[in-house]
Amino acid sequence: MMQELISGLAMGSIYALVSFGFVLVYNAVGAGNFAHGEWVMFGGYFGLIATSWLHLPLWVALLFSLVAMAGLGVVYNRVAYYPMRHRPAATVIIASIGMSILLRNSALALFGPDPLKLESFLGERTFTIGGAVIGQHHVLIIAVTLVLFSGVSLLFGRTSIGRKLQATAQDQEAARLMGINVNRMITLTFALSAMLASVAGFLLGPVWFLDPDVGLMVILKAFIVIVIGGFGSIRGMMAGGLFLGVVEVMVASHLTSEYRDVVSFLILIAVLVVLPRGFFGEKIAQKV
Amino acid sequence: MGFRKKIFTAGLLLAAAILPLFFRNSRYTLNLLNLAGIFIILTYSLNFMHGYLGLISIGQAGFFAIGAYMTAGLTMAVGLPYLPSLFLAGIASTLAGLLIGFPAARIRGHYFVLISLGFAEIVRLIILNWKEVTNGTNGVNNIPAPAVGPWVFDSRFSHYYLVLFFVLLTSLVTLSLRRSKYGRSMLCLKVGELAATVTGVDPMRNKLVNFGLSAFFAGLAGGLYASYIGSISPEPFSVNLSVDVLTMLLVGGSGTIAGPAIGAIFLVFLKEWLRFMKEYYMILYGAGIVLVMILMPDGLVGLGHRIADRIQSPSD
Repeated sequence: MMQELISGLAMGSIYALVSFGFVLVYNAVGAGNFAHGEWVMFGGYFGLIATSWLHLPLWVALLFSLVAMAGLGVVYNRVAYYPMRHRPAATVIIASIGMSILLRNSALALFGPDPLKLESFLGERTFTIGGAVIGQHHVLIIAVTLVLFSGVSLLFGRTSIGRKLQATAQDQEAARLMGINVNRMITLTFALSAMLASVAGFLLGPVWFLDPDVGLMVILKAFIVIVIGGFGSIRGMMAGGLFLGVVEVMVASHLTSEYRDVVSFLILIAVLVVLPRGFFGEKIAQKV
Repeated sequence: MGFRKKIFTAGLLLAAAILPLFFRNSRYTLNLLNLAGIFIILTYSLNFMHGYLGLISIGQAGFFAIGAYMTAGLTMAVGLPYLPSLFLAGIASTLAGLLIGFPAARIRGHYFVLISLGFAEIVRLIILNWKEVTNGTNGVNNIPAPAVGPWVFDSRFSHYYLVLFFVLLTSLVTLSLRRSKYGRSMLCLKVGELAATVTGVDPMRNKLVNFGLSAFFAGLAGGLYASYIGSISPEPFSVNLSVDVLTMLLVGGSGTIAGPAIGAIFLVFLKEWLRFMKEYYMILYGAGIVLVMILMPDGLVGLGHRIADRIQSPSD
């Protein structure tokens, strides 16, 4: 039970982290980045390039991945958002879907279809609490996610650059009038989101391995989390992620492993029907 | 319809009718023509939702899969003739559309994208895992060729005409919807739901009619696909298929009569032509989508209009 709970919470933490990155961009530009799952995948793959191609230590690999992903975020903004910033959200969404196809198949061409394992900072080590064997990496996932969530919340709430980012997300026109360089803030948001994706990829790599389809898998789960938690709320996302992770593990081990994902998507639809505000978020019907 | 437009339409119909005669010996080209036809119907089905209501769905694969599996099941396990099976498959898909439509009609924007995506994934996972009925990953094989009365559409050449018939049917329904009260109400809802409601448009009813139509034709396309290919498995009915259809619609031009057809034909053939690039072709395909969105946001049809305007008034 304890074991399942921890692995559920670990999974859920990754879902929450992926959702967080997605929502950052969504709130800043008003359109979802459907390539965010592929960003997470590339975050992991950059780590793999550093460790198994360049034989760098894992810490350096993380640094490498963070820098590379920040670069990718900036380039992505320049290519797939900036030219379309005055167009309807649908255009931006389709462009991001195009980017996700591009990135997924680039990964396929570079790394092949087989799942590849990224090393963990803690290896395969486990510890035992009351008879339950718990992977240390799982605990690491939960800890890192909590730290990142509070870190980014602090960045937004307490620093001047964070407030500028928030102002941009709330009302671009007003932010511009306040003398904020809106385009720079949006670029920064893309970079920040990509760096969160990098960490998510690093945490995910040792547990689920990396293959070209992993991005699609995590983004689908992140969507469910966002619906549960609402687009607006950081606490909601964390709670939604943990909830989904635990439910999935419980459903898989006690009810049905084949229909686990069906249950998850039914939760998505049920939440939209019963609680159209999410547990924490805004009113869905009015969000166009 | 003006006289010139009538002539043009007649010419287009004639061209579509005699086109396969030139490729009688090329099974390869005939295959592409059949697939293009099936994708045209599927793209029209999405055009109902996006063209008339402005909703983005990444769920057409779900309806397509229901249509395909129902057609296979009804012809093989129940032993119904082809046309009733196809029709009932469309109805089954419509019911699924209405079922998901009740919650979906109340939500907009990104949430609609997510609910459609969730629906299609549920359908795919059920097909994948309900092995007693769908035979899981092995799928259903040896689906009989469509037979209508004495005619059997068992060659790629003859099947083309079956597909062509349903393409015409779909485009006729799309055309007549535009001229009906429902179509106008939907376009009204697309522009502003509140304003439309105030003028007496019932959003729920119009949306349900719309989703029903969309699901029906997507299911129909699925049924044609199943009997054309002859075997189905869960694999092709993934998110990628829904994304492909959405791309076809937006590349062609949403909310127009010609757009869905042009987009479907263009992308079916483009994918084939890029195939020589091996593993790089999907990379180019993705890049192509981004470029299309940057350079021609109204699709190929919009681009055509812009060029026509430029020619007529070169001073601009």
